[in-house]
Amino acid sequence: MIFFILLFFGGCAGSTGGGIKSIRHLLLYKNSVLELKRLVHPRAIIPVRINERAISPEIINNVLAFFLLYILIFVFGSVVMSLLGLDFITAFGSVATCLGNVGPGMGTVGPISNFAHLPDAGKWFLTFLMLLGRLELFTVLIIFSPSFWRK
Amino acid sequence: MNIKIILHIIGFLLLLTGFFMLTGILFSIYYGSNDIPALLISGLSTIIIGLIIWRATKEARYTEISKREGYLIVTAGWIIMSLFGAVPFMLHGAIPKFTNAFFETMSGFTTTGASILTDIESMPYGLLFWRSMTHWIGGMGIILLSIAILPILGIGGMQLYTAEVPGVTKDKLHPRVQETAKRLWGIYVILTGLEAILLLAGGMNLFDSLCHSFGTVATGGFSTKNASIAAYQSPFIEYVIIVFMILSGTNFTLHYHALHGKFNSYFKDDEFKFYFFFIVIVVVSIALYLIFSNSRAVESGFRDSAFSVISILSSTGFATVNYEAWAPFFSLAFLLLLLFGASTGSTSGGIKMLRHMVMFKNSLLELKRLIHPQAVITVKYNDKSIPHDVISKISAFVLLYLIIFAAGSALMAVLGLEIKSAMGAVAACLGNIGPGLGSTGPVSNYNEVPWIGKWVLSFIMLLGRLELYTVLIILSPSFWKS
Repeated sequence: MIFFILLFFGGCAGSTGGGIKSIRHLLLYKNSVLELKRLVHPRAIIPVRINERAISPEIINNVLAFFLLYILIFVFGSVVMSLLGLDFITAFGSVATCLGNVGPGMGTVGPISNFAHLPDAGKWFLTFLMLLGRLELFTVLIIFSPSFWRK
Repeated sequence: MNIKIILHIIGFLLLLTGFFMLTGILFSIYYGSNDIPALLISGLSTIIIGLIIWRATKEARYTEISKREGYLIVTAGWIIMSLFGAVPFMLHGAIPKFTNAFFETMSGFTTTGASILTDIESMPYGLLFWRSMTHWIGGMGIILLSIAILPILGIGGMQLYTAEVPGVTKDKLHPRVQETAKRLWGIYVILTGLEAILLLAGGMNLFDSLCHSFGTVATGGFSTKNASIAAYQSPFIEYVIIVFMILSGTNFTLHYHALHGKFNSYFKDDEFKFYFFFIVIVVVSIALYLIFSNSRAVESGFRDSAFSVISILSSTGFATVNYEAWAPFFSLAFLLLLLFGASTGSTSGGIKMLRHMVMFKNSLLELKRLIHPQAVITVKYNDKSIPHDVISKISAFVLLYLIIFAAGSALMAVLGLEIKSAMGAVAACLGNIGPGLGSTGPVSNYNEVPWIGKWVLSFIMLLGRLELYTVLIILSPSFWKS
């Protein structure tokens, strides 16, 4: 369970670690906690600060959109994998690990086994997820959006 | 912080709670069950204690309630109410352990419907009625009821209202908060009455029909039968409950407009459309799976799918079948449904549809923003742009929700639950749904959870019912700084 959550974290931004990345977690976590402060002082403007610099709302919004897309793809991916016949833990683990570019997941794709036994369709799907994760979602997804192809 | 006004209102809440406790005695007398002394003693002493606190602090009556006092009153009120509500169960001996009695009561008030009882049918009638009554009180909210009947709360009522009914948008039915509270409780009573009549017509007795109406309209899920709704084996009863679960998961503002003849207000509302079509798509796809893959009859496949999906989505938690037995895949599908919730402004729990809709739209629009970096692209709800700070609020909420879900699941896993049951239990309690997955699934109960886990889950239920912030804010240091 603990390792399952760790699969989501990822390394630092600008490093070669994959996943959601620590800076995004930090930013969103701070934003959520500051929301409590905003409730106590409804008129105060309380920005999120990283390295003492205030983060603009657009950036927070972008990080947020990223985070939610990540979760959405994770959820959708797990559903696809479990439809292909994987058990609960393995489906979760395999998608989380491929999306975060980690490697070993949980269950039958855990650290002491490998992905060889997965169905072919599952392998293709996981390969796509790896690419999505490595290019941080937007680069790949944008190609699928209709407004990208419109002049 | 004005302690007197806080105590004054909590005193009144106890007064109400005690009064509701006594109502169960009617059924004890009718059925001749042995719980009259337990209900009478605890009901009367709750009323007396409430009355003493209320009278002793009456000079605080006309002071204004600040935002912070509002949050404190609501959180403390709910905890104290659950402590008193647990007394009849312990006094009678039906639930001897304090942990279990508190869990059951908190589960009732927060309309979760997670039960530790292994044999519900052996409980005396008065206590069973009180157990369902906790749902009914908690569904629309006891604070809202106080606002509706206590004119002196007109001054600070709004602060209390926002603390108990946080929501996303503030759609008030009337400029005066007391009138809004009256209308909301009015619709609530009408829905409950209608359902009770229909269930009577479907062959339930008065006791069962009232208890199940309380459980449905509050989106609670306590049943008076061990097998829940499956005990009746009646398609009519199941359809009635399906319809009322959908209605209870709908924004009550829309019901109010419909009562005034504006029936098209339902399909003019983006959230309702999202909620409705989401239900249709999920129910139909699961029904198709059941019919073709599990070779079920068309009608019963559809009914089982609709009942289970809507029961979970509306955060009710009644059961007719064990959805996990359909196929391994459904554990995962229902875990996801556990995180959805129904509409804002309804009695349901969870993240709720409006938040999902806004977050989803916002994430997709980010792609558009990447292509047109200079364009200002806003998320629209009912043709109005949603301001930045509201989106930030919603996102902070969704995130905190997921953090609590993840941390809670980890904690439950440490306490010894297997991973699926741990996630299911936390999702079900945080969303005020009731049955989760695995050992806490629709055909089992929470009795086997270790006692620390029961306290954690009780806290999580309260967090979920008051939409996180009302409770969390009290734990934050900036709340106590003056």
